[in-house]
Amino acid sequence: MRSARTWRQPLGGGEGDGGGRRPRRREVRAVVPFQPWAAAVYDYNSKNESKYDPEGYCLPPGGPRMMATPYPAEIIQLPEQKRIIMIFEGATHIWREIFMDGRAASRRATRSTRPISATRSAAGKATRSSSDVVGFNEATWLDYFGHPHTDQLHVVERFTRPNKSTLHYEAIDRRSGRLHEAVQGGVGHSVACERASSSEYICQENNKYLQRLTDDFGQPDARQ
Amino acid sequence: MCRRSGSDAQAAAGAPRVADAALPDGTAEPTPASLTARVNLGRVAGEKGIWNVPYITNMGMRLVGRRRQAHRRTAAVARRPSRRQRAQRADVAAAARRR
Repeated sequence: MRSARTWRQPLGGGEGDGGGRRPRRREVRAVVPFQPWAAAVYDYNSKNESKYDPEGYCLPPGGPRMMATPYPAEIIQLPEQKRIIMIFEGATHIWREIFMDGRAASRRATRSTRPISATRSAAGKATRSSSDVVGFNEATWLDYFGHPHTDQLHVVERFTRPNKSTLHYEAIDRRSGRLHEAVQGGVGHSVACERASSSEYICQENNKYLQRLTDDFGQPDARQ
Repeated sequence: MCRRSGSDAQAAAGAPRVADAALPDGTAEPTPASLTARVNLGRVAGEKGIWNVPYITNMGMRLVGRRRQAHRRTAAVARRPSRRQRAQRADVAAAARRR
């Protein structure tokens, strides 16, 4: 006799990727090959509805999440200085630099919410540019749903501009360390951005609202 | 194409979108030329160089690359026990009741 209660949830995001919603039958969805610890972290983050999302507390979105925070971004390319500067209005008005002077992105870089980015080759292509990003710390999430990563994360980014008003971005986890197969195998996103104009957004620190949404297990907070 | 998919108020407060630059025949303007061999991701004359960023809440749903298919499976199949598993569980439950 079939009983939904007896079904074991698959390890890794079994609770999470629908915000606690069970998928409908025959529904096809992507499943990330989590390690057990990462699956537990992810499910915990889902159960409490991303209560401890660093971005919710105005902390910088490290790495690919910068390109997934819905506010305009400005790209300033400085060929004379051999670098690209990207300014993000979302989150905490964060910025990043991509070095094009041929330096290699060293994994010995300081662990930071603002990792080191360097282009992969000196030549590049007419419509595409790739860069390595290393030096992550573990204080950031890959997305709002709470996919974790370790400081061994090595992201390869590909920026493609097929025409004047389209920008494709692709981020792929290049290297999987001992602890970080949570994102092994090409977790990333491919998007196409359109031109936009800037707006104004301020992230207010000391956000108490998120703390009172739910308790750590998704239940209404008793303090309310 | 960069559609905001989230219901977050942040997305609603985002920037207004500027109409795409298109040639009179409807085709998109070509990639801006660069003085170097690299692609020019920055601004060119006549534009601001500002890009609209999408709201992506779950990168697990944005898998790319050759391994994408390996990471996909039907959730119903993954969660639904096989006939044999169900029979085994029924046997275990029956044994427990007998005890």
